Amino acid sequence: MKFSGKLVGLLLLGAGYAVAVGLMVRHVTQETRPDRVTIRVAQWQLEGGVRQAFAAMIRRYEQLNPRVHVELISIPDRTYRQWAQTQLVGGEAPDIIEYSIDYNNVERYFAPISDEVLKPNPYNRGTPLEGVPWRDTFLDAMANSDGFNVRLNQYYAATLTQHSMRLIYNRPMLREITGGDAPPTTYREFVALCARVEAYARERHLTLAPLANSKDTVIGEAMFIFDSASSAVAQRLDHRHVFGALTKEVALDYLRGEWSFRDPEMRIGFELLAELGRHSTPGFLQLSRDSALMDFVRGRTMMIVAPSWEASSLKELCPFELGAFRYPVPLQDDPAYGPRMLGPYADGRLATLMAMYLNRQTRHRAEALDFLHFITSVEGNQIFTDVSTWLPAIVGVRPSAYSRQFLPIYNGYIWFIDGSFLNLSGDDAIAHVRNNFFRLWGPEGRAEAYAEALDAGLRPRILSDLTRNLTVQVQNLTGGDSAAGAAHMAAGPAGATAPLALLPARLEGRTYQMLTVVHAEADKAGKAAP
Amino acid sequence: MNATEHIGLCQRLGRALFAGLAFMGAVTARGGELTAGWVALTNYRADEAMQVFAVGAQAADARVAREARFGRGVALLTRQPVTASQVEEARELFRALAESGTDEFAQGARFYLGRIAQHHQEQPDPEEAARQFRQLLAEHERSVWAQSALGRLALLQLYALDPGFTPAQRIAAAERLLAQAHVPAAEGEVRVAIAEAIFYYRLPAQLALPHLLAAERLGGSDRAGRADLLLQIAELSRLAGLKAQAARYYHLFLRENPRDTANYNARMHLAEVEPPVPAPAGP
Repeated sequence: MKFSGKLVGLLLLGAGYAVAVGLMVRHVTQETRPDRVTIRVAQWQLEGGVRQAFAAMIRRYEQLNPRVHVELISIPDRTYRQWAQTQLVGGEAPDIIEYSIDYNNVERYFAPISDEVLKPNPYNRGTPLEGVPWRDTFLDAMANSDGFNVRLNQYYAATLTQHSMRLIYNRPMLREITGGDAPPTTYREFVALCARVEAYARERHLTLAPLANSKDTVIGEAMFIFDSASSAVAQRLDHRHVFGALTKEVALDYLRGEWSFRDPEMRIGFELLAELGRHSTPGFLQLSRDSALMDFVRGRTMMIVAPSWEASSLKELCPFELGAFRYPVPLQDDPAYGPRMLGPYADGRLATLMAMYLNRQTRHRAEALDFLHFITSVEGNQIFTDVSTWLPAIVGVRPSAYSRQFLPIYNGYIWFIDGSFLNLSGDDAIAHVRNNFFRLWGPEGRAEAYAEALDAGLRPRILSDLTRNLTVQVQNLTGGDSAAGAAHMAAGPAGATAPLALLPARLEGRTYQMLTVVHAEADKAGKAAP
Repeated sequence: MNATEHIGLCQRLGRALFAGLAFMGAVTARGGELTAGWVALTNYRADEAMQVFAVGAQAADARVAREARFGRGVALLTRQPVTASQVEEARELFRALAESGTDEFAQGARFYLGRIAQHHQEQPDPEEAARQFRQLLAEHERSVWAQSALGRLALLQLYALDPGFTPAQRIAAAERLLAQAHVPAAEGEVRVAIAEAIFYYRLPAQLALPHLLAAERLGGSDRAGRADLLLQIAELSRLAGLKAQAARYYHLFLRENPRDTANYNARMHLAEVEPPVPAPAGP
């Protein structure tokens, strides 16, 4: 029997149609099964192991709760924000959504969980966390920017993991080049190791660099190195005496002329970054994260600059044994930099991540909240950690032997609350810092040239960031006014004696402080104040 | 029954039905159903709230009708998209309420007149905001609305009013408002606002210490605010050489925030003010 091309095409089309109808019918019957509720969960982590971890948590949850069916929707991070916001605006969004405070409009789309966080997580019964308020079962007690929204003064999100920046290395290659497999523990040892790898490559005419790096991954590492080395400046800017400052406060300090990138204390940070670039894959500023991964996987570098969330993917991709260590920032005993160092340094603020928010419009609030409880219980988070090999977010959950290498170190000084000198007031300042990386790491790059370029263009960019931010802050204030008055009225006579739960004056005061500086700057520039 | 009679009967029935529904609406509103509007507003569902208040505004009970008009004004301030004309309509509603009584709705309306001038209108008018808040404090000093306004008036005083004032004069003006604080939360708000302004103006930080200590004694801070308070008191006490007080507050911070990243810094500074515990005597 002979088939014409047209017939084959029609048959394929028919088969495709039948499959589509089948899938649709399956979906509809699932949705309409009267004996169970379906909740949907959206997230953007497509790294190795994460979707499998969700599948494992869902399997266990459905075992415990046969009345509830959970669907996972995984969307690539490049399109996630637009997708989520479209769904939210259209009223079709999933019940639980991974989201970020940086996406704004948290109060419009999501329900606060402040009333819930002081109650115990029911899934922790029979564990050491039984009876402990849900909030206090998180390693950071929900004190991360998504967990507790400082601007809105409400708890919003439950988190699943934590992360760190690490240098991941090819253990057999390290052994072959150095004769041992212990990673460097001091800055000088690290520099010596890089020199040894370069010599090894030269002697054998190999295409081999010490570090795989990229324009994407270098950012996190650069922030850690630069902020650690510039601790003296950050400490000086702790005007509120709380062991730290918000990036917007530091940006205001910049506008007030209290620091600049050419301050002597900043110089070491730039020198360390320049050194990092010299040992990285040539032209790494042109490379994407995927190219850096390929360089490392194919053995063209001995180490890779990587956030811990890449570790699970690397474990799947690499045919060799991996190790990991933290970039050893110079300490007070360093022969050259020691006198200006203020270590030891923490790996940033203790902040758990992967924030899962509760959709304000969900029709299944109780079930969605219950699922959030489960995935952040000792059992649920242990499943997540074991399957994904990501780090845990819950007290008492054990990281795997592999992920233990990525456990953040918090026993050290940290002065930024929410960012970095290289991650200042908003999109414009951040773009300025990154768009000038070539002055540091390009073929003619120099630390001084980079510092000069940063200072040359930073002021107007901070100003535009803060001006935009002020609009958001005022919207928060005004939205909060109505909600606070309404809550007072809804409470009736019983709740009528306490003042309104407005945004605290200390937070509204920050808006005024920003307004004052921005107005002064705008006046100086001869522009109309916003 | 001919067609005309039929139509007439239908019209009478319709009128009776409408009257019945209106009566029920009024009765329901009087029965506390405006609460549903307030609850909707706390959840940012302004459209839903406005429907509830629209029914309430028809109530025969004048108090219910006033509450409903007040509710409409509050909802207008947050119904998206918030436009200038919507804010203006809210202002008119609040003005009418504020000038036609002394009840809670008149007080609330005065409070919102202040807030509109402070933040909601396109060009803020700090003088007008302060005028409304001061009038509210003068007429109903101990009311919830006036006590809520106190912290906002302090902010105006600290940052927006009297352009010729020095930072020290601004702080002094805000400190005078403390005499009008009658509930701990209101006093705490003003004291914390003053302390933060002292830091912002780079005045000697020690000036903030009595305000922070008072705010801590008063209680009522949210969690993040309390963590800041404890650290600020500990740090300023250490810098002032008040070692025992510094140690007490470092310990409080560490106990209440066992997993805060600032713990390392706190422990290091605690070691500076607390004498090392002597080793137990040997046998």
